[in-house]
Amino acid sequence: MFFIPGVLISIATFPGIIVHEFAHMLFCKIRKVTVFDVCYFRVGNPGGYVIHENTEDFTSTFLISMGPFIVNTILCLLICLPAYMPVKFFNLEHPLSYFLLWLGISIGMHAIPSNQDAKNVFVQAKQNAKQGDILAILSFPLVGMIFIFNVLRFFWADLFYGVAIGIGVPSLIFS
Amino acid sequence: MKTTECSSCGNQSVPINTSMKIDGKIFCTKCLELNFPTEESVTGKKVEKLKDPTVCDFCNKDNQGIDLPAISNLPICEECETKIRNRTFPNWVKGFFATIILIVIFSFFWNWKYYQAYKDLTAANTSFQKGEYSDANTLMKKVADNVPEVEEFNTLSSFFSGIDLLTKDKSTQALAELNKCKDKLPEDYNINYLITKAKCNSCFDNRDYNGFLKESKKCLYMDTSIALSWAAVASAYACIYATEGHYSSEVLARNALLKAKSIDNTSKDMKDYYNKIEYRIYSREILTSADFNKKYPRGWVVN
Repeated sequence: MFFIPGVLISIATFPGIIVHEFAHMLFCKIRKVTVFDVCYFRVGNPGGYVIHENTEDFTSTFLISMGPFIVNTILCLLICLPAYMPVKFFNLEHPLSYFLLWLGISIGMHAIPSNQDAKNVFVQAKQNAKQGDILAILSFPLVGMIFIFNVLRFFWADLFYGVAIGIGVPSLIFS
Repeated sequence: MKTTECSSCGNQSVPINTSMKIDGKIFCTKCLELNFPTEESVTGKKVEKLKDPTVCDFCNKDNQGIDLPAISNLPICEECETKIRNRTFPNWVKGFFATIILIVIFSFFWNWKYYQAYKDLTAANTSFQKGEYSDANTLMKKVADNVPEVEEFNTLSSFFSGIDLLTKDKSTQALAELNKCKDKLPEDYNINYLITKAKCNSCFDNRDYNGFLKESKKCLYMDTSIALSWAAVASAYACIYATEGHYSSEVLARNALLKAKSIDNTSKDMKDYYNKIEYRIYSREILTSADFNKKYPRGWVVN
């Protein structure tokens, strides 16, 4: 497994970071949660952030934290889908197709919420699960998977996810 | 602005926002640096940053000793609250998303022909497998027209067209189409067999019966287990017998016919073909398939 500094990966996949932070911000706006500060992209670690007020509403916490998973995944698929057919099926090497695949996979690579996002959900889910909140109960395996996924980032799990959504899903549709 | 007292130097006018509370004791900036010079020196201690409720945490505006409302325990002035509550996406982010959406829409239109071609290709293969060669040919032609940059589809279009023409007894045209596919398709397409078959039929159409026999024998040597190949040889000998009247040609025609029947004596197509050959041997009249069907729509029998 070869190692590339995170900053270089961030630069190479910057559209994904912008969309990731955009998704957090979007769900903050939808759930009417005040945002104190937002950085859509920067050269550093983390590559972007959204600082918002704390909310007691678990649904809001869940949606804000999982927003990138929803938005980045959908966008990854939508962007890669038009490029899939000419490249994979017809073997046509058009620059636009490769640009779309880079854009889509970059966005897909940043779909998985960070450990901080998972922690935010976990803390509230513990309290809400005691009250029988179904979403809170269902969020436990999801949070676990996010933690595992973030460990596997070292082994390029984020790239595999982007490729699985951008190329794997169209392959299943058009198999 | 509110002030507090430093527990170390006793200064009573320390602005709250510049003080820190460590393990319950308040320190001014100077005393904090003196007592806790490194980060390690506060390790394990409870460190709190005090907030002056009369100073906006966002723009540092002093509210003249009157407490400000707070969001998440952060005092905030009216202007900052309005600004934060109405925070929207910056123009460059909006532009970024608009560009992405435009690219996606453009790409869908740009690549639509490939999706159409994929759909037509799937339908063409289905039709071909069902033996609906005319439909398969039309669909494959659409694929080749939609994606002219992929040479393979032009070849497949010629192949489908060749098969379609062969089934319509237009052998000379079929031969021209199939010749375009030579050496361009994998072996399992049996292109050499089909070309020879087309040549057979073309010779028959042009009344070149010796050529018909030569090509039908070539077909037979490619695979002697096909009833159709034996029947074609029988048909060629029957034609030579019909035109030249040599008894040996009749014997050879009948022998080849027997061989064909020993392989397939049940399928309707083959039985119809045998009937036409038997008629030719009996009557020494060479009719095309279409003419025979017209003359004897229910087949021919001698008693």
